[in-house]
Amino acid sequence: VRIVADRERCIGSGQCVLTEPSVFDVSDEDGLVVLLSDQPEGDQEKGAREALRSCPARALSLAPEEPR
Amino acid sequence: VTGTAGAADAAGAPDAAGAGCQHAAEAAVAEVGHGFFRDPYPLLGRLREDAPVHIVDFAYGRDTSVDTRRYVITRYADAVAALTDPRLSSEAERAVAGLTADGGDVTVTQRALIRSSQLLAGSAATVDPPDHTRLRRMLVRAFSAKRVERLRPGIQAITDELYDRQAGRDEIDLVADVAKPLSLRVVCELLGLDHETVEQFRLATGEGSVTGMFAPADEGFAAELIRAIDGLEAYIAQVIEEKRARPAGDLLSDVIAVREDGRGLSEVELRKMTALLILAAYETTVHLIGNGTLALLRHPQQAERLRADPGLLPGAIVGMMRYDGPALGLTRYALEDLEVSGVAIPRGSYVFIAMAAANRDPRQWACPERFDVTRRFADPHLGFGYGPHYCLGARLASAEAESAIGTLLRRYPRARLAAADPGALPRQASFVRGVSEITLHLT
Repeated sequence: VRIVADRERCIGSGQCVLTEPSVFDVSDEDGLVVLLSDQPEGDQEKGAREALRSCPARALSLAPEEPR
Repeated sequence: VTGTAGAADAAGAPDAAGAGCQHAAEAAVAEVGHGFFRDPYPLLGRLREDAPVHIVDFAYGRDTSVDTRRYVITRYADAVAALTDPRLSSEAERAVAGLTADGGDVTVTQRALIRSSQLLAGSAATVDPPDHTRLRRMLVRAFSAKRVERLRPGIQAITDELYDRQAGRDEIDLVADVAKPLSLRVVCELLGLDHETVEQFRLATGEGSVTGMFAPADEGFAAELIRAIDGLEAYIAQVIEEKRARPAGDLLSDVIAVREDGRGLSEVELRKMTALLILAAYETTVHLIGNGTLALLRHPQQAERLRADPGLLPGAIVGMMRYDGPALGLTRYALEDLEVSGVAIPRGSYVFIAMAAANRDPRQWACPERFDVTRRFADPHLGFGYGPHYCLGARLASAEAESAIGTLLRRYPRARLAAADPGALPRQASFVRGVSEITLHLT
């Protein structure tokens, strides 16, 4: 899967980083979400999916994987 | 101290856009008293349905030489917008700027407000960007879900030990016997603090801490509070020094060790952060467990459902947060003139965003007064806030509530309230709201 972060919707709550710090971070400049990896696999994917559910702003979503 | 004069100004067409700016309606001052802190929902509901914004005087139990009036926002959509509005500042020290700027003598009650404000001033909860972004980012990295998951077995072990101590008793006080010691010991384990020492300063971390930028009316209470704050600050400074010398793998040691681009937290920032984490974690979680248990045991069928299917527990905790979470709301300071659903709020006002009212807004929730452990919600409740100051400890608090309430249900299937109306409110009724004792029969 591919993770999509909508920075227009992001409110900087940081819940995604708390949930899966290997996939998400917050920016130094505006405190909003930054993707460290947009196609996580295995445990990272599991954590990223949980982060999707934990986002209070519903700023994260899944998209079909891009062809490599 | 009058009644509802002016209420008609805004009651007519609160949502009418383009009708020009209205003035906030004055709420009946007398209504915000003891009864409000026991059950705030009747008044919050009336305010919410009457107009989007009211001026409410929270003079009850306060020193009124400091302004006790707040512009109160009660509707879900308005609350979400306000919690993400950069014109509404979180800088707590603005509340005391007037007092200190006057240069004259301050009373002991005013000094209690100044000291409790200073305890957190400049911490992540009480600053705006860009400082907030930097402090928050550091905390977000330290406060990871993995750290909370690692704490889970420890949380359950403490819970089991606390209930074990009740062996042979039919009657317990859930607050004193379980919720308080659990919450205190977990935050101390997380940060690497000595819980017996922190407990000595409970006035600073509990009922005195979160007074919403009010000065307490009672001089004895104020003097006691100042002593507790002094003691807590001294202990925090000492602990930071010890952890610098001997890091211990706890969250505090980790934050001390951070040297991002050579810029870690300053000594003062470290102290404020430590105080913030204790204050934000301790009393709030006590009342999440307390209010949640009350909601559950007042709805015995719901308790039965949860006993039958413990898998419902995490969702039930979310429901408890929405139905009666510990935070009534958050205080903000208007940096500019603004307008909320057509009502003008002037620059320099204090705004109280009543999340408890928004969490029962019928515009947002179907049957908002219904407590049902099987209910699942598409949108987030505002019990942990919303936006850049969203509660970092949401996951930790929920884990503690799951442990305390889940274990109660499992070990004591007959647990019930000894009285429909539980014990007293804390001495200083605060915006972190809960009762100070809940007597249960276990057998």
